Amino acid sequence: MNEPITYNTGYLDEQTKRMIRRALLKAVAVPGFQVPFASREVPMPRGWGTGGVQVTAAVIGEDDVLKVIDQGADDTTNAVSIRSFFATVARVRTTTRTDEATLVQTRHRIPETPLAAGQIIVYQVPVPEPLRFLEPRETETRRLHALEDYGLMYVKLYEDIARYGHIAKTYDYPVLVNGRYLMAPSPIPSFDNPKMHDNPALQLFGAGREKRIYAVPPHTSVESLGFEDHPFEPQRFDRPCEICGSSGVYLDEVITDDAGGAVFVCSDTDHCERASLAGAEDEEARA
Amino acid sequence: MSGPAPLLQVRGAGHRYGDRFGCRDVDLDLWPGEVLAVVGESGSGKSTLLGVLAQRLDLTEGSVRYRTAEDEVLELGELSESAVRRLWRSEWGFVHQDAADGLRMHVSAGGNVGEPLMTNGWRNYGEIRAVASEWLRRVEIPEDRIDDHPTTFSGGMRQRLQIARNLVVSPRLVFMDEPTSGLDVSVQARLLDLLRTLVHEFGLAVVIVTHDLAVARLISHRTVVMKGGRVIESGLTDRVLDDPHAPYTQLLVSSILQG
Amino acid sequence: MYVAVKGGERAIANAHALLAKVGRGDPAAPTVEVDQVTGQLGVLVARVMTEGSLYDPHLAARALLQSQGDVLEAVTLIRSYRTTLPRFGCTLPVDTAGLPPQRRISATFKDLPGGQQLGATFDYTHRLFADGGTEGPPPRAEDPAGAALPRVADLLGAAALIEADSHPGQDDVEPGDLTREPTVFPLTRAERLQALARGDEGFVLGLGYSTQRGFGNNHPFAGEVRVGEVEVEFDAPELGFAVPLGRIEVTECQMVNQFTGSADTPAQFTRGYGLAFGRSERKAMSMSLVDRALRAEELGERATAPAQDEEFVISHSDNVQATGFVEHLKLPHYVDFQAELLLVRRLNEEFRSRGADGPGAGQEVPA
Repeated sequence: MNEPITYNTGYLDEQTKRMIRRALLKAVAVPGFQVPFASREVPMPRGWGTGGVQVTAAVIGEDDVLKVIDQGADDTTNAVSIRSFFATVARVRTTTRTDEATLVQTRHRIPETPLAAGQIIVYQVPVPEPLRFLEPRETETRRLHALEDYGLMYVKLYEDIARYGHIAKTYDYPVLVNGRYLMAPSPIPSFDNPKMHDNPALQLFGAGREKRIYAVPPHTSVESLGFEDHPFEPQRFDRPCEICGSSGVYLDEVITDDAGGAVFVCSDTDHCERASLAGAEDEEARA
Repeated sequence: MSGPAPLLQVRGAGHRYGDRFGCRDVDLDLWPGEVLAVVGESGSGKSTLLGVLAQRLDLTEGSVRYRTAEDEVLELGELSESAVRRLWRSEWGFVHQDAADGLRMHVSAGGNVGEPLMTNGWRNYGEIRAVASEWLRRVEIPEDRIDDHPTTFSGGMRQRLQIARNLVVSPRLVFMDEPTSGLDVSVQARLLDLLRTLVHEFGLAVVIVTHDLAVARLISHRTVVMKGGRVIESGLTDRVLDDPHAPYTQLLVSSILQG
Repeated sequence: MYVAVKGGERAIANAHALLAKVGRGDPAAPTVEVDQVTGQLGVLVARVMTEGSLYDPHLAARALLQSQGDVLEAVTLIRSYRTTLPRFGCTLPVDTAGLPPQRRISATFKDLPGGQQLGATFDYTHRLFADGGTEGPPPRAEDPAGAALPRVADLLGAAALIEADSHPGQDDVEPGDLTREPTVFPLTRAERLQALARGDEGFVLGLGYSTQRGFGNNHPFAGEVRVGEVEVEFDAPELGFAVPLGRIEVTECQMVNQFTGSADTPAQFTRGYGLAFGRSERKAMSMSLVDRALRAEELGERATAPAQDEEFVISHSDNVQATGFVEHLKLPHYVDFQAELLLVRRLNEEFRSRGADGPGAGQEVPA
């Protein structure tokens, strides 16, 4: 006979939540600095958002309204799985609307709808160390951050320009936070980088497998790296969303036939839905 | 070649490995723009001394004082890691015996020479590339190799690249650890010639460790001879090599003439 | 007109239902019960407990059943559960020599006090499929070895031929807990051993094997491999004595390795150590080889091989982390892929237009 197993509200025990909150406070106090934390196991595999889940679990309360997105969509499987997890263990209201949420957990995108003061966005981070693929040793990268020795990152950008004529980093594009720490913004497309700068919301980053937490407090400077004569250029789409007609938004390429024909639609499903509705209402009003 | 005050002032310096001393009781002065050769056979303690001066080994005894570009005298043993790192970025260089130790082998030549600039805050790609190009010319590396990796360079060319990488930030003091060993004789000669030109042109002070007296003769103003971890003779290079006082130095010099 | 695909929630629910159906197998066949797994698949259960860092054979068996035999899934279940358990305190260090072992062998001496006790082992079986399971002649009822058997390492230690178990000032008296503190390199030996104990058996085995093949060889001899039960005693300072909680089965391996010494210090054998739950000889032995390899720096040896690289070994030994990250590649990555497509398409356009300009158009973009 198997005994029933019960879990605390929000899954994590209170002591663990306290430990994570302390790490978050340290992170907010030193913007962009990676704070080591004793990452716990949570009921989903490492690499699937356990850092984001622990951060959310540590800050979520019963009054919160939670939105979870993956690739910008509320309906992708991982987002669905995490949202239903919190609905179960934290008994919170969930939403797909960015403007209704108090807490947004995201993988790989920042919503198109601008965030407001009082909102928190939690990013899922696979590799928190921006220098990791240039210098595999953690003992060395720690030293580089402490000594503000970021020459290696610029060498990489230089090499890209020498080789391709462009900086070749299109996502997880390195940023300098508050003029001091080099930070990995998580694999959001470089298109989204400008949104991080001077944002009124609190931005929190959780890397569960690598056991690091970091943060960007509201209204902090976040600059994407570049050279004066080869400055950072966010990527652009030169066409509008096929469904809602929005332009200046990040688009998904959807293959529609065997010949490789494709349509381009909003990656942010909430934005697309509401823009379509607004568009339809406009048409009705005019009709 | 003397300035108003020594760049490096070493008194009673020593480094201990367990029970043994790698080097002991070393006194020397180095002036701006001066090349000092530290010669001796293997096991003489010359590499240990270099390690101590360059802050790679702890100073177990004595003192090493360095005068910065701002005319501040620093006791090197007491510096924090970040202060030492700052010296390496702006005032010091180190040329390794094996160029692969002093270069990023999978970064282009331009990237290697540009890195110290980028570390020091240079943020204009065109300017960085132009300066790197200029330095490749100075060390006689064809400029169209600027995007090639050092893995494709010959030994002599890698060494010249290493020199360019060290000199691009205009250091005042460069440490060199047997920079010509392992190279062909003709390549060595060309390298030494280049070094001599650059030292003169940029007023560099150099501490060069070598087992080869010919290298000392060709490039240094003064020479210090080491044996068993101690300095047994020092003076102007020509004097030491033409008129050695210590018996060991006499032995060293004569063995070359016979060889 | 393209209509966005919806229905992720329903798809997940259906996937779970299908998983349950596939996992049940033939509905006519009897379900496997937990005690059948604990009883007849003991070695597998031991592995799940060891890598899950939780001694509970019943729970480990349950995890194996729920995960349909996927060991790493089972370990994940165990660890997720373990993390929620409250901590009351600590036990005293277990004394692996305290109780008569079920199995104790040594490769370093032909015979020793207590003899070579083979115990229950596969070692001498012929690896042929046997009808009717692993039944041999019933073992003679022997009294369990009367006294607890002395350790080989202690015998060598008495003559100061082997280094002490721990050196003064080597590690903290209070070892850190890897599951409660962030991993920050460099680690203490205690933390490394914790990581190896819960590390993937295959990974640790491969690394241990690599040392034997010359990638950081440390000349190992199996001083002792011991399987048996040990007493677990809860440390209760308020009571003034330790409270026995029960017994757990462990496997311990003491490797005797390359001796050190010089003109000034006496020659002594060095050690590697391995410990795992249940019957886990392979794990304990591999662990001891890698433990010894990772002590290279401490013992003044050149560390050139992968097994001697602490950051490499420990960062990649955790199989739950490893499989999580490897398998996460199945998650959608199309947003980042789209960003790469944008760049590649742009570079190709530029390449083509340069080609249109004729040969000799340089690759370099003017400053």
